[in-house]
Amino acid sequence: MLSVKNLYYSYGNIDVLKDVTFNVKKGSLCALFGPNGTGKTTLFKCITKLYDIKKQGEILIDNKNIREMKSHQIARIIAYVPQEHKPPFPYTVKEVVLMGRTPHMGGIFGPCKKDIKATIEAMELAGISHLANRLYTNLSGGQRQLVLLARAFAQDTKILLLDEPTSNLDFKNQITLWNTIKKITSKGKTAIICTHDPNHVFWFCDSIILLGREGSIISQGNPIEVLTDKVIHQIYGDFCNVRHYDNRSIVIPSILKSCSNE
Amino acid sequence: MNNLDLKSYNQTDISFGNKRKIYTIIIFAGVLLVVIFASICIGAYFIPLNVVINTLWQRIIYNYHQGVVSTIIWDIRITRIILAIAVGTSLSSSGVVYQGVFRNPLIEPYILGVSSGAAFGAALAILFKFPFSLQLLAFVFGMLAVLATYSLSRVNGQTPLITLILAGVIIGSLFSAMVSIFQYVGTEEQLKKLVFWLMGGLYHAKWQDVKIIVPVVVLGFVILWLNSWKLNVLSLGEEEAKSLGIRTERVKLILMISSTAITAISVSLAGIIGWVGLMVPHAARLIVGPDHRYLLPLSAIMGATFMIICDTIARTISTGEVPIGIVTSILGAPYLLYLLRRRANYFGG
Repeated sequence: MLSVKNLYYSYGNIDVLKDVTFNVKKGSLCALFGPNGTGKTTLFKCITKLYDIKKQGEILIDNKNIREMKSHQIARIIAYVPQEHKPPFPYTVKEVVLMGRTPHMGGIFGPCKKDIKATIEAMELAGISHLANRLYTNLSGGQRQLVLLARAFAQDTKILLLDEPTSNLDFKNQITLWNTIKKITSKGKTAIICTHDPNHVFWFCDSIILLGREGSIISQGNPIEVLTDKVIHQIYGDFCNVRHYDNRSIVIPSILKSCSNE
Repeated sequence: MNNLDLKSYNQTDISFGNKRKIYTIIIFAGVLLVVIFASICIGAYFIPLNVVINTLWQRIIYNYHQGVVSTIIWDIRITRIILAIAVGTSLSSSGVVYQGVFRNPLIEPYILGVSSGAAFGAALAILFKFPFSLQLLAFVFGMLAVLATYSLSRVNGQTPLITLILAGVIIGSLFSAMVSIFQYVGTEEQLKKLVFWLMGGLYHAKWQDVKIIVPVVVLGFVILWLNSWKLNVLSLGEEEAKSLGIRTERVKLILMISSTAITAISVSLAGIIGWVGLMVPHAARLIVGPDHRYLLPLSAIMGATFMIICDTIARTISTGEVPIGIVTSILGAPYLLYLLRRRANYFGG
């Protein structure tokens, strides 16, 4: 589905991505995991062609190089959910979601009935139908994240790239969001999610790409095999440990253990 | 705005119909029509409405024109009104576009230096004998200033917005400085002429001006309007627009060229009229929301209406002629202050 080969990227003299190579299979839910500043967002922006590959590397979607694709073609295949932010103008939620239909709009003047139908379905899927008439700028950060998610659903693409979609959500909404993504990937969509919670990776993801400090991939594969005690120590130090509970892996900060010993 | 939302909030009803917005635009178009006829009647010499309608009827249907009344209506007031509509339309719609492209509601169409460039052109024409008219020089230098701003801020095929604004400030102050030099060396007569031009006015409206500005403004506005959905997406942010498949550099260029051209031609014919391009887009956005498909036409209609009202005041308030820029500022500044105080939360505060 999506394959990245020997990708390098640097801002000026600072190397951000080094020799990044991976494949993501159709229908998989893949985590992009790594400490802050390891180039996760940069990688997303290379895949969506927001950044041009300057040095070296290739990105292929269904064996087609994105170099040869125009931005509106890519927008029909990849939806990118950026980290939540506030636009300067008070659009309503339904207008923001409707904008996700832009790559499919044939006419010069904007949306048609089909686009509106897709928008309503996307809002239902993301669970924000009740917010449809609210102003996007007046919502909380978490609600805005859900709106951006709905916009990506409305874009109706094969691949979804999500940049920390759960960072502002409450506990229940985090799990609901993961569950929703899980559902749509089981129907054949492919999702890559950048996240900072290793437990979410254990609970929901089929595969993981682990980026290290130098912007190169430390390890990739099945989350249970990749996120071992050794690897967790390698990225975070002695800060936390992998434990097993109820046949599931779980990462627990080591401070907690010392607390319970007291 | 919050209270309003809670009232209209209804979980089962997600309506994408924009009938209310269309009706709003039609109502404001009606207001514009009333203002047009009122402005034809009002003046140093009052002409009753029935005489106006009768005279226009005869003129248009039978091409019959005779007498002072016909001349006043046809060659003086209507030319001014058409010019006012064209100038109001272009300043407020390009204000909308600039604010959308720069994603900043406090930007006006003069931000890229078009007014300073035009002022420089006008000063050249007033101080030196040129074979070209003042209007042509003002237009050419207005466009040149924006071109300079645009090319200065272009780095690696990209034009970052903040660089564009800063380049606009630089080019603007450069041209302003040169205008100051002209003011310093000019004679008293030239200085008076220049200052009066800078304050703006529609007093020299002629049919030949109208014939130039109307097609340009109509064409420019249509191009802007056809791109209004793209402008919606662009106003979310450039990277987001790109990831939604918009060719941002191209769309930005089309929007910039069209809005700058209509601004420059307005400035060249009517001088530098402040506040309209900043205030009217705000007012329209408060009424119809930020969707540019509706915001652009409403803003154009409101700009035209505001311009006619200001010009009517400017030519009737005293025996002489008050520069229209003064009227727009006096009416515009308190209104914007009101918006800022009362609706601060509207801007996402």
